[in-house]
Amino acid sequence: MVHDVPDHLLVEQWSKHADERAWRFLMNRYDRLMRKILVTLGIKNGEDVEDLLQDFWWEQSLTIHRWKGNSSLATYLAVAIKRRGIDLLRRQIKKRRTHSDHDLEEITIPASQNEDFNLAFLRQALKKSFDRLDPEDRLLFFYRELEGWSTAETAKALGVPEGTVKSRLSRIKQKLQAMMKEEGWNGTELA
Amino acid sequence: MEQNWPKEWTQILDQSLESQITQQTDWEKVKSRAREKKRLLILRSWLGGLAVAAVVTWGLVGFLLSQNDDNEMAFTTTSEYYTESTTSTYGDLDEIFYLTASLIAEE
Repeated sequence: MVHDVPDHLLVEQWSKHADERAWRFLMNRYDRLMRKILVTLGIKNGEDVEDLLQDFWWEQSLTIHRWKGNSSLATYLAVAIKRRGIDLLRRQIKKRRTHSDHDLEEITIPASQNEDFNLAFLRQALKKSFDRLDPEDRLLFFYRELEGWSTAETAKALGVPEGTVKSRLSRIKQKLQAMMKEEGWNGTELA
Repeated sequence: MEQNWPKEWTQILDQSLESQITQQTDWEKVKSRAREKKRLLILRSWLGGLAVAAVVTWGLVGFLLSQNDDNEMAFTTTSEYYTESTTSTYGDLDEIFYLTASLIAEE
């Protein structure tokens, strides 16, 4: 089954034999992760994400043979998409300086109708606090906590020493907890 | 501090992120966008080439015209001199009569 085929074989199949099926599968395998990285970085505009990803995947289809397997393909792609994402963020910041700040409004996560008020408040506060973090911190938290990457992989993806990942993660959690208090959340457990 | 971190916070953040991912990249769209970009790039380079060619032609024509202007200036001066001298002495018809009469006389 193609689902079980390891990344390096799919890459080889694509770069040496131009097997589009292999490439499509590889792209689908990592597209969701790439999207999550962009959203974590703070790129909220759907069109921007689409444009960036289309260019990104085209570029990768031409250059993926450069991946030598020193790190996992996920890390390799994560480094590449982060670079593009940061570039786009810089351009957006420049644009926002010259335009009004309407686009900067926070996206609120709609609470489902049956959702407990406490949980809805917690979701909102967490989202706001997380968005207030520095993009690099958000990404570190995302890799370690949400994606469950190892410290070593996270360090590779961010280009920092492993010790830095550990200490920064701890600081990020402290920061988040402090921000949650500012948002009005006092407990650590749901009622 | 790690011990104080509530696990449900991680879950909530994860859910929040997941809920924002609604689409998936379509390889066909990626290819057609790349093709479109390539087409635009070719068109742009063609237009650039045409612009350069137009500038070069314009420069060349300007140069040739300036050369021609010098010749024309000399010619205009001669013809003006000729016209002025003939009209002032004989006029066109007078000149023809004069030339014909001299030919007959020679015969």
